[in-house]
Amino acid sequence: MRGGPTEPTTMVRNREPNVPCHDVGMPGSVSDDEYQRLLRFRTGLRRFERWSEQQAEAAGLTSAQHQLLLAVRGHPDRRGPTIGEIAEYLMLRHHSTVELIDRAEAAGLVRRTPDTADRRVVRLRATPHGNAVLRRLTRAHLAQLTRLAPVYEGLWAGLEPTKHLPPARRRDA
Amino acid sequence: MSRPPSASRLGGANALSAGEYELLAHWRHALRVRLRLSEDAARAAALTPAQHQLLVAVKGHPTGRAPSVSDLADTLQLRLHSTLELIKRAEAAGLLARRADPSDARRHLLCLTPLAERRLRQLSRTHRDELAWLVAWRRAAGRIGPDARRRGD
Repeated sequence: MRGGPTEPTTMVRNREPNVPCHDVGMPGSVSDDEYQRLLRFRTGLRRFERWSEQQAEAAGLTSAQHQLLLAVRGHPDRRGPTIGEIAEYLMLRHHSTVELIDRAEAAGLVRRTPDTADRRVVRLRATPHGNAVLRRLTRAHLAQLTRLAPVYEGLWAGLEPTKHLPPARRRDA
Repeated sequence: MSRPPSASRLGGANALSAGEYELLAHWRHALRVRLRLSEDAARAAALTPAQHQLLVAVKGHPTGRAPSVSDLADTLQLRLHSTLELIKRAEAAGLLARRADPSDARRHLLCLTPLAERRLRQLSRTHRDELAWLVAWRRAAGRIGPDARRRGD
């Protein structure tokens, strides 16, 4: 499949169903090297996300509550995000977002505050407790990303956007 | 697709700055968008997102031989049982073929079928977009490290 005992030229011609491991080197196809990078990225990401979930749980939060706190604290508007903005940020349905916020509010992590200019609009703020938990989690995450950076440094080596990667035109059909 | 923020948004050395929270939150969001695009593309190519990742795991297996079930469990970060279930369904869908490991007959190695290769080729643009996304985020990710180190975390 990737080098090794098979001869690529033979494999390209051979369409027998009993030789399923072949690599048709079509022009424009993604190379084996690029697939290996994609896989390393995804595997690294899965490990990071699992680690992140464990960190959140050790801090007494669900992973979703951690992401909610980060979305609230990382919102560029200092007045805090609206529920709609959080739904968009976390890519959740409105209903699920409201449930998540309800539970986080009950856990004392965030609170709803009416917008000062428009009382119909609800904005979210982290509580002092939520801020303290998030600060610890964020420090741990930044440190973990620092540790992981050299491990995944090779992912980018040799990837030149202008050379290998044409700009995205539209989504895959 | 969300663009990486400029590195100058990362701030102070002692406390965590608003910019650092913003960058992490922005990265997580961009990641969710990127993964969602990939999942949508997989479904459009008649694959479940899990099957798509399984095919990428077989195709991208780096050791010069086809991966075993436990190799795939490791790269997919799934339990062995769940990996086997996923593989069985992919075999039934004509996407994977099993063959005995020449060096250990008790072990099976997984190969992509021509159908799976076609599905992956259909997803070439998605794969290129994902690599381009990685390149675009490299600078932002690189800027996180030194700041964290300076704080002595």
